[in-house]
Amino acid sequence: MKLRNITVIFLKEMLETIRDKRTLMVMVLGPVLVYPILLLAFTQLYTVQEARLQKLRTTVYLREKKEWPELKKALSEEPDLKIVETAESRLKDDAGVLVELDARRAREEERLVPRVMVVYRQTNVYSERGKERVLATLEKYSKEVTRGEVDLRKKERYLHPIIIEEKNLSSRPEQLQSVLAMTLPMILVLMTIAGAMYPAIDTTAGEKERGTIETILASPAGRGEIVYGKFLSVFVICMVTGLLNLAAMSLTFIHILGAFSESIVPFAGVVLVLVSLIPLAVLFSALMMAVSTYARTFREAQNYVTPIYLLCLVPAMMSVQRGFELNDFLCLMPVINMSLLFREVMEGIYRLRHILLVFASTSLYAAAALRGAVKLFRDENALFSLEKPFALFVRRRLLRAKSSPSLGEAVFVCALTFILLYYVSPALEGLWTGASDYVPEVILSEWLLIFLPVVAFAGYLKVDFRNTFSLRACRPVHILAAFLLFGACFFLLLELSVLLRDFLPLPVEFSERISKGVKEEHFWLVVLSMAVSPAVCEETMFRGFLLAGLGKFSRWARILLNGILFGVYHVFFFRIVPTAFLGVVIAFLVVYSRSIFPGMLLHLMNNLAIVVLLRYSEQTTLFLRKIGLGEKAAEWLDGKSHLPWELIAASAGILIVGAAMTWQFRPADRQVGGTNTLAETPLRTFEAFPSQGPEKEEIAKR
Amino acid sequence: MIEVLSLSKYFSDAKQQEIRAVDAVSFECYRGEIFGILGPNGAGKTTLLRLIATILAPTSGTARVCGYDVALQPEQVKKRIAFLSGSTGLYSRLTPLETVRYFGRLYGMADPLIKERARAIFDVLDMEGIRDRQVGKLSTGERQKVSIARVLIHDPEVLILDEPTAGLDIVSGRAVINFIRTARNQNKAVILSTHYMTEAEEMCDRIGLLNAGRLTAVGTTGQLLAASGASSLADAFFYYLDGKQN
Repeated sequence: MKLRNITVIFLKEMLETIRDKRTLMVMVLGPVLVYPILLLAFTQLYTVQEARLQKLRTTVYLREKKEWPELKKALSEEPDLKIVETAESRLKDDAGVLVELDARRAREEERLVPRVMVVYRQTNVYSERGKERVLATLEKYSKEVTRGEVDLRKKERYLHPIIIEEKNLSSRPEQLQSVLAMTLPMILVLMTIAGAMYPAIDTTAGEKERGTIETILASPAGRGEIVYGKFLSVFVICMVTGLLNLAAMSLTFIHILGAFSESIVPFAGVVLVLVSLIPLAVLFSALMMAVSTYARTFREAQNYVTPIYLLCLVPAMMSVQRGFELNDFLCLMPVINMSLLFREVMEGIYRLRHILLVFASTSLYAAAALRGAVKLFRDENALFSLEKPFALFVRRRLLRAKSSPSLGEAVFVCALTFILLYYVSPALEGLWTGASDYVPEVILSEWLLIFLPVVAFAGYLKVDFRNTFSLRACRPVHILAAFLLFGACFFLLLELSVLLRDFLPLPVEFSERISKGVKEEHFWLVVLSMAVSPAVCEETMFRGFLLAGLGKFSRWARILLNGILFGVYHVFFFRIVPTAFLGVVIAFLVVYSRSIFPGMLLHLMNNLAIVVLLRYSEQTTLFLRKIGLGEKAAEWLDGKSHLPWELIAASAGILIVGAAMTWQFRPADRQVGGTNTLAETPLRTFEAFPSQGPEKEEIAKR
Repeated sequence: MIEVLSLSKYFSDAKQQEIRAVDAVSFECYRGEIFGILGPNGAGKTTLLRLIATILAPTSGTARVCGYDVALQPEQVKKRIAFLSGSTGLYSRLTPLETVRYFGRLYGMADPLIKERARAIFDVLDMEGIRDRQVGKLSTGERQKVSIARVLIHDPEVLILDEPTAGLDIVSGRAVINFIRTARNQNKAVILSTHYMTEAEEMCDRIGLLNAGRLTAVGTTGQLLAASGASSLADAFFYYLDGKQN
């Protein structure tokens, strides 16, 4: 790889970009216009709000622990205040103010001085304005008293006619700052990502569309050099966009806060945000380039990139979510981490641990994305778009038989079943009612919405079933391996759930709903719905069809991708990680045993264990007590406390032994021609502690 | 100069069926020779030339350009070739001068040398007037001149031209043909593909007939006519086409 070539390509890409009006629009005009507009809108809203506030009277709840008629009179005479007498010490009306009159002995004096406690909510503009009005009235009163009675003997009274205390019920002191601290990170993250979008498409798909890709490929520049040169230019544009946004945003921020409040974001915070922006820019530059490389035209690339951008919207918006705080786990989640870190910095919170975690994890993802982009550029199938889109809406007789589905077809099936589960499974609820609506619905969903569509689509595509679904007999050793892996995963998943519990708590309704179904329904029906159906149907889809569709990737990439997709399919944050872990293990087992059956077995045992433990929790506890493990073990099984390290170490050891066995006794790859297209197609995943099929999530959601 | 040895390229289509775009093709092209590859659309001409230009990697077999293997030493091959095809577009936001400079730099040339070569090439192609206008604003013929200037900047030993006259009017087409003949006279090896029989007959020293990925015949126009007993190259072409089918 020659630095000179990278530089030459980088400079040329930059020159082209500067000459392109569209990029400049997004890059420069965007921030330069957006923030002043934001500022103007904000100021105007503020003015309108201000005018409205002026008109409204404040309700003052007056609680007299000790009566001070003069004070009460002063407050009542104020036209903006409406006095309501109350005996309650709590402020129930969010928009009101509670004024508590009491007495206190003034310093070095016998006499009692009125003590006024003003209770309000700063986050409520009406309440806050009311407080200001009350204070102003008290101030006025206090001045009048001082002016009216000049008596040196009563000096103390003149200096301290009233003792005023304030009590703010809002937790956040700076309302305005907190609003900006919440919205601006989201805008910054989204604008930065948007900054990468256009140049990433332009330098890859755009180049293909204009027919210049062959020109550059015929030059002596290596493919790696081309990608890095292009990437650098995308990255620089992305950073410049981010930088301009940050500058415009900081100015706006200072402007607004300078006008209406006292505190501004420290300079160090801005620098920190800027540095954190680097890995984010690298990540999205590389990711969008990689995705666009697949497309033939600019428009097609836009179609691919836009969903990514939309997917980023939700995590970016997490900064607006009150009470959603950055923790170690969220530090590892792309986009969310950056959005929340920015908010912390905006709020003046610096936690080195978070900064390092966010920076490190984002850099890691960025490196992977960049690697992927280079790899794709070396793949002539992707580069020349030689792969045809998958067959759909094509008459079946026109399709030729093939050994396995394509990637597009596999992804399509996953999306289809997901949509079916989401929209159709609620409708299945009434079809068949047992002791609980939950159990029958799971069975119907598994077979009708997963198994049936997958098998039907496979039949339509004329794929080789034996190959696609790995319907091969497995060696006995792999059955043994499935048992070992099950045992290991069971404990590791328990521990994983405990580890994740602090970050992503399991909703109570979710587990209650499952355990209700498990306990009330007929045992064998529960086994059918929670263990047998998921093991057969989900394995057919994930370790069958999907794994076969991932055939173009290397084995490890297939195993990991399969696991991750399996996890994501389970929708809820608290289920994704454990389920993905199980998915990776099953996928590994299926890939190396070349048979789906050990995978189904592992999935079955995993889910069966959960069913038994949920249904017979009392008996289990009794049993555990009998054998002397008692309360401690029951807590482990409930996911309430960490497992002892010996048990974790043993499980990890067994996991390694099981995996090694699977690998050691893998059947020879019988395929000729080397590539792993169809040979070791299906993998399988299994699920994490109290999780079964995706339908359950849908149910719990409702 | 160019030796193509049993070169093959297979693709798989949507139904994962194997398509043999180039199937065990072998031929040589010498210095000072124009070797024409003649074939109908979809015969595999472009894929064959892309393989020689190292843009695609062969499924099996190989080709050597100036003694360098396309699969093993693609960088060395790229330095010595000029590749021009219908799909080698130009960057529309760069000027001809910037285009030529960009590629010159990628070929590792120093800026003064690029300047000198560019001036000479622009002079020959009569492009001085357009050198500072953005390529996007040029006519098709002018753009083809820029493409030619681009491939000549590093003084390549081998020219690989995929339908170089396609879509050009008669004036621009003539300019291209002149440039190809000049290159031959400078003792360069030229491989060009075309589906115009007359162009092939007129320009090429030897012709290879390509059909469905296979080279069905190689020889001078005279040899092809004699062997097939046909009176025109077109007839000879159909003779070999049918021969394969039979």
